[in-house]
Amino acid sequence: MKVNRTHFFSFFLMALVLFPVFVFLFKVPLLQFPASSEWFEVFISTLLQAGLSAFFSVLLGIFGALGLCAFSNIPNRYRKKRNLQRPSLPLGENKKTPGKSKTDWNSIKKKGLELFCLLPALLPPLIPVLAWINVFEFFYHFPFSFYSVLAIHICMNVGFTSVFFFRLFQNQTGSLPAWAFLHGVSRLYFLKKILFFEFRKDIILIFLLIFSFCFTSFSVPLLIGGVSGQTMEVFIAEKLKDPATWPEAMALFTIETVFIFIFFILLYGREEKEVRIVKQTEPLYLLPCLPFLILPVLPSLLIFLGLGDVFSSEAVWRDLFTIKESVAMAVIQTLFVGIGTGLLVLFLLAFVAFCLRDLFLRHFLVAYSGASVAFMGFAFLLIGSDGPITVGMKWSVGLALLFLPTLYRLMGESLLRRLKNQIQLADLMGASRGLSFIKVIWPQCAGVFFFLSGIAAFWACGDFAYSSIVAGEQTHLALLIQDLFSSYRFELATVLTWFLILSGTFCFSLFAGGAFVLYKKSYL
Amino acid sequence: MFLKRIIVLFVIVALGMGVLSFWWRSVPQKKVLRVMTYSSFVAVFGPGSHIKKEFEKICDCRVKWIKVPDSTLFVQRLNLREDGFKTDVVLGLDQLSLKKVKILSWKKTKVKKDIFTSPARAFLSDEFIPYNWSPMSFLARTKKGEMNLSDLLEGKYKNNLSLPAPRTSTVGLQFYYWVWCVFREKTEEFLKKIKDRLYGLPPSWSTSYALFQRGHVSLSFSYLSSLLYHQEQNQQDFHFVLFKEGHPFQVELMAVSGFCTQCELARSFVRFLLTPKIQVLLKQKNYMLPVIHLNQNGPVKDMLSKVKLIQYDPVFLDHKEEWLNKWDRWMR
Repeated sequence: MKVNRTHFFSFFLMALVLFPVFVFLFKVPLLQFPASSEWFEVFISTLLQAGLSAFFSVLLGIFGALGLCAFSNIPNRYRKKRNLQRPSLPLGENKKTPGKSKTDWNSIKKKGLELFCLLPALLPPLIPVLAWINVFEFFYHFPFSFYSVLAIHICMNVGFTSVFFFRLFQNQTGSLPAWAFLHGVSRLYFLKKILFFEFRKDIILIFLLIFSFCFTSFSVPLLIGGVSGQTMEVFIAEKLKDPATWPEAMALFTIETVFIFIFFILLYGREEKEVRIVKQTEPLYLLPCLPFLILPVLPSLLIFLGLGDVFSSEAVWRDLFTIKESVAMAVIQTLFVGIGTGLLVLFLLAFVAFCLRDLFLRHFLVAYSGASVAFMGFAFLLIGSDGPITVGMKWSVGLALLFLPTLYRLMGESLLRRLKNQIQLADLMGASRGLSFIKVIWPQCAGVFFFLSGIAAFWACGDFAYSSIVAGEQTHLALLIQDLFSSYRFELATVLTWFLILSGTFCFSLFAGGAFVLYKKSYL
Repeated sequence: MFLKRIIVLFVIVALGMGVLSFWWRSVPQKKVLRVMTYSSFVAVFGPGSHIKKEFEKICDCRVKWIKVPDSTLFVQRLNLREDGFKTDVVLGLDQLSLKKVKILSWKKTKVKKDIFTSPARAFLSDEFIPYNWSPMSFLARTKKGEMNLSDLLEGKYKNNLSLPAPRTSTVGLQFYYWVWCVFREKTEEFLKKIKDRLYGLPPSWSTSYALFQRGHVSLSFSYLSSLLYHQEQNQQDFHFVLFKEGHPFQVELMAVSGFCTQCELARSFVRFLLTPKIQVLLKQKNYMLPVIHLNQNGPVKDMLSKVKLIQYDPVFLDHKEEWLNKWDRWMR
């Protein structure tokens, strides 16, 4: 009976995630495959773009992580040289004392730097893309092509991969580098034969994540792809413009989804990796990699440089004052959409965690690339009325469903895998599903789920692709920015991106604050 | 006990909502006119809010905008739901999209033909009514003499021209149509040569024009009426480039949808947009030229007298998808 109930919940969640596809299938019951000459080239180009973006993001991310490791160990090395009072502990032992009242500046510095590196991945694509175009144009003509999509995707992801590998090296290398170097292993040999080999599964996992993200990316290729940078998502959106080609759009979406699904199952779904956490806080400091810090830091730095040159114009301030009421309304709407989406993602993630025993659901969420933005928009246009409350709900629900698979793949799956043994134990001891969720799963997942919801909230604040379809008469900051672009007010639009960053940061902070409180509580 | 309270609360809330709903229905509601248009028309600096306010003063109704991201999506949106979202008026069609939209059902609207100026009058039909227009060409930062299209192939324009992609933007499509009209069978040759003169192909006119406004390119394909914005902002260094081959032009059209529920109101809205007051408003806020006879002054009027327009040839549109596929192949 219990198993059936779990299956029912899982089925409900899968139906919810697949809902836009069902709606569109109802509208367009027939699939019609376009001539291969029409789409195959775009498919190959998308494949190449996603593959190269993921490859370089991972490669540069590994070196960026070594840079972060070197940076995070600067004070420790300083202490070692000066023989300061910190007692030397055996390698591999955790030196942190949870709940210690003294401010740990080293930890704050590290966390701050991590957040700074993650910025391009956290921000809605519109903002970093605008900023990088501004900076790039200062030196040379920005190319609207395949290569620009590639470059922007790498810039967006390198910070994320760097932080991911940094955390991984920090938690799992243990005393390996120290022992290796003690035994005379060269640094290059260590990187090639030990580090890459040891973490090959994590490398594959992160490659897949970035690959699926870049393969299904819509906003970036639409904004800067030009003709040669067209991807499957953009091609599907093109096909959706004309009702006569909707069956072709549906067929292309099926090809894309099946491809990603098979790709994930083949490369990732077969085995479950046991995660061991060693907690070594001085990882890899023996490698002189500080210059590599530039890799994750530079893209974020360029965002601030690229968006900072518009405040000098007097006309911009005048225009901003003219539309102050619209801006205020847009900010309020942005906060509503952001917080609403964050809360829904939190609920959905908790729902997935509750159905944790259902492997099929988890594999589905890992392998499903997510509905196309246009499909999701159309599905929600077809249902419900267009009153302000209904539109607000459709807006947040749609965005939450769009972001859920990506966010779950990002951190959710690895977290739930780690709890497998504990749940088995709880089941053996006779704990009910509700009890094991409340006492075992939720306390360990809540922090990460709040963090992921914060990311969703930030993304929702800056979404314009889905929002422009469902928003109706309402508007939020990203849509207002887009409208200003179409009304010759380019500089004012750039100024409003700062409002967008602030609103997004506020939403993110709300959820990240929740995560922090839960983290602190877990030590009490 | 707790469950009982919840049920009682639920019943009270449900009853309350029922009473409210009954009261709401019994109050006489104003008619709602649903107008589908592109988002920049109803944007904060656009003419939408002013038109809404003015029309609501005289119609005893409420105007509701149905926003669509861009004008290439009207057909898609009207086809999405069987009731076409109960759209009464569609605002923002253009002459290059007419063939596609004619497959939908439209209501006839009678307007006086003699109020229209050329070339808008040529596109007036029983269903489709022009409401503003503008000739198109490249805009430059420095004053230029009359040019030929082939002058754009000069080395100095390498990476120095901006125009949006024709697949995603009607402005881009106008450029393609212009080249096709001028070069016909030599279109491929010209486009392959101009490829490296273009600063990429941004997806929208706004991105393309932003590149020009920020000084990254010296020429951008846009509207003559863009000068109206620059005049308003006291920016004197923007100039319309005249071409010997003539110029393409965009006529924006409106129509009463076959899905209309307030058809008469929709017709009066269409006529309202042709009144001098609203035509001036469209010029000031939509930065497009009026389609009726008005006393216009200023540099735009002077320039308008010098602009030669190309002939509109519907053959291109009969094979539009084919031409767009060719464009993708040549420009890749």
